Amino acid sequence: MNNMMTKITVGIVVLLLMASVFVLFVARDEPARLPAAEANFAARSVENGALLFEGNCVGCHGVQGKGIPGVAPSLNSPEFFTTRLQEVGYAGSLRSFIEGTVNAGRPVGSGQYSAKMATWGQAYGGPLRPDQVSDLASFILNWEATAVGGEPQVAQPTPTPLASDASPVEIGTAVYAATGCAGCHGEPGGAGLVGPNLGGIATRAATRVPGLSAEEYIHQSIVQPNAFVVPECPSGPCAPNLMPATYEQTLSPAELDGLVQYLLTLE
Amino acid sequence: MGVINNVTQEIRKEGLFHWMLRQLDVLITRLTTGLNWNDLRSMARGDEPRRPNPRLTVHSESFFFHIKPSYYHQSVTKIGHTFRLGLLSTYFFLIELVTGIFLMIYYAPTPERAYGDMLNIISGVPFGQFMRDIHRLGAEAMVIVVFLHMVRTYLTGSYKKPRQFTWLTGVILLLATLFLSFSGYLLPWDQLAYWAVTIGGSMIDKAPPPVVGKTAQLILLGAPAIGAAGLLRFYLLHVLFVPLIVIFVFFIHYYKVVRVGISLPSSQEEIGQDTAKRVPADKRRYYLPDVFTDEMVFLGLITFILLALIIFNVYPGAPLEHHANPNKTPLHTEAPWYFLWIQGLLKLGDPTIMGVIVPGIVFGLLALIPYIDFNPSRKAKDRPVAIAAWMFAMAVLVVLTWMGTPYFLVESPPAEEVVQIMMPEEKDGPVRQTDWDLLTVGEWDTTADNSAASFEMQKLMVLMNDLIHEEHVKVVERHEAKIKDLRSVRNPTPAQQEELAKLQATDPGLPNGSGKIIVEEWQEGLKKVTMRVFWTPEGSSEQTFEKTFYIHDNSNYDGR
Repeated sequence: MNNMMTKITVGIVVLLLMASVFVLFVARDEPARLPAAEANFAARSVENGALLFEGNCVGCHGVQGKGIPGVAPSLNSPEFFTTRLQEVGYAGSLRSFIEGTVNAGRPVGSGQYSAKMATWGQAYGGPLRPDQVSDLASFILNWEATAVGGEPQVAQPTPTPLASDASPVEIGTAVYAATGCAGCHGEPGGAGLVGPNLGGIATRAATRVPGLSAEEYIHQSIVQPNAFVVPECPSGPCAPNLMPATYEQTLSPAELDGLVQYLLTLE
Repeated sequence: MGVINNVTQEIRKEGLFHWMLRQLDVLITRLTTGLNWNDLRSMARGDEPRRPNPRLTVHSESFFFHIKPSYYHQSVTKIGHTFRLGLLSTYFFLIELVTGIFLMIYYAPTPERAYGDMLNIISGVPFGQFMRDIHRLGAEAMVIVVFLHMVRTYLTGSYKKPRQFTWLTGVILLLATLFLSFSGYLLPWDQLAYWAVTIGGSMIDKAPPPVVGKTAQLILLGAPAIGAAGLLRFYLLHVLFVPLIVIFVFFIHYYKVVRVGISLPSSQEEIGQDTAKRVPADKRRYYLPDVFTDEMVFLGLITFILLALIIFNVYPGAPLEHHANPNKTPLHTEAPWYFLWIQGLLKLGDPTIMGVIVPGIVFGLLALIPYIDFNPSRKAKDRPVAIAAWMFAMAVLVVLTWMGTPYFLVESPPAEEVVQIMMPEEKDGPVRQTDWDLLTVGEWDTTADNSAASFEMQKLMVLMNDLIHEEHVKVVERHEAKIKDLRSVRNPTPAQQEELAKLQATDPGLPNGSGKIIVEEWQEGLKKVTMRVFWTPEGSSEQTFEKTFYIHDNSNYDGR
């Protein structure tokens, strides 16, 4: 065999090897790989949605979506997955119902719930991108198995490690995070999402309502949100009845005091 | 009627079988633009061509072969002289073109669609991930090959007369290759893309004077920050404009290569000699079939290596991180590896000087090398300065690249670093690698007895404990080094004295550090994992860093 023949043979062998390696290691696995990748992305979507829910939704819909009486409905109840669409007369899928509601909000209170849902989708002036709205829907829909299975979710708020001698400010910081204040007001010093941001609240509170000290004003704003509605919300003047008026019932006196003390540190 | 009569007569005379064979041979001759079946066989056997040489006809008749010279000097066709790096660069460009068009079919360059399209390419398009892997590996390989091509040309002194302009076009091609690779980075619209390009975009912004930088950035991104307009522009640059430049400049480059010939080894050719036209007959090596066969076998082997790297997971594959989020800066943003040296430069000083002026001078000098190097010899032993300069440049490049990585001069809070290692924002990390079922629900503490947890969970707690200790030691060492440096200053300024006092007063790192991992059952197939790091600096209360993640049974990050 001469030099030229050797090279041609090597070339053909390499081509055949490539073709067989491709068929054996890529093409053969492809039909199984595609659905597996799809399932992975669906799972990651639930993970992303869980983080978004914690950051934005627990303030009204409660930790783990159990709902807050008088504020916003439960999202993990059997009714939500079985009869909700008929109740409201919605013809689309549950996913599109959730995404539509998250995107465009719910401008009308439904009688038993005080809060009107804000518009969360970017296209409607809210903070969430379309993929985030979709992730949120994936997370909410993932409750179906346990909800329809009839086992109500037991809320387990994240245990917050607070020493027994924690100062009121420390308690208040934890309450701000656990109650989901940031869901509407954002992180202090950042940007408000639905309600005004609370960075600098201690300074503003002192002069907001004549006759009320900063401490009294903040306390009143938490337990009676409609007593004085400030004009500067992220999307125009703040609307009354948007903030839940139930915190006097849901927070303990120590927690309420802590929250006030914490907010007073935000100068 | 005459034609049919003629054909009928021919068939009668030759017999149908032989007539058909002859027609087949005519067809082969047409397809090969001049070679019949016997010519092909004689080429495969390695025989001498018949006279007149039909293999030369191919070079004048075929479009694809007319751009190739019909023969080379035998000294330049040896693999060890050029390593065929120019051919390889062109080949990678073709691979990028083909795989790129495949990916374009399934991709729309808008922020609303881009990331979803990537998910679809991976999970809905047959061979989609494979095509991404090849496209990405091909791009990175092309950067390496183009760079090596330049190094080879430099070391053999081949840029000298008459090949100066060829070198200049080569530098343009190098820049275009780098920009092609970089512009492709943005298209998946994930965190990796968004922040790598944000760094790049902010460098353009720093081009002096400010009005030029601002305008250039505005033209490139279409807005002060990367968004829909920037994505569309990068896309068009990536798929249309820069490839056109590459094709255009490539033809100039290659025309020059053919016109003046590939330089012979420096021992055989003096500067200024034009070897392409005066190759003695006994030194000629013909393109058909010798060089052509070599090239095809070479490309076949390279393709096979690429394929093997991807299929056997030596190459980790094209990554896809979370959706681009302008509000969330990743803990460590890293430029693509071929730009790490610029990131290293940026850590050294003013972004205008280090990010724009210095790289500008580097590439400017690179382009002008043939015009400023007056050394008349191409032999390495006559070029000590040029060779030393090259070695120095390579060493600087390596050091700067290392300095561009997060290992150099990036100080993130140690507690954050611990959590980032355990559970990175992207990819898998130890917690996600642990079997989902073995993440035992409960509250686990590095200072407590975790024997109720699964063995895997206990291992995670041990790892966390080790990491807290390691990060602590790292920060304390850095802190002490800084104090030592400041103390050794002879006449410290008030600012330095103040800094020293401040450093001495702080208790750095994670003193008395401990960690907690809280695992909660959250939903069907979903667990909530809260990681907390506690530490107590002297004279201060306990500090906490906390981060929450959700882990789904089926998310399988698998290193991506």
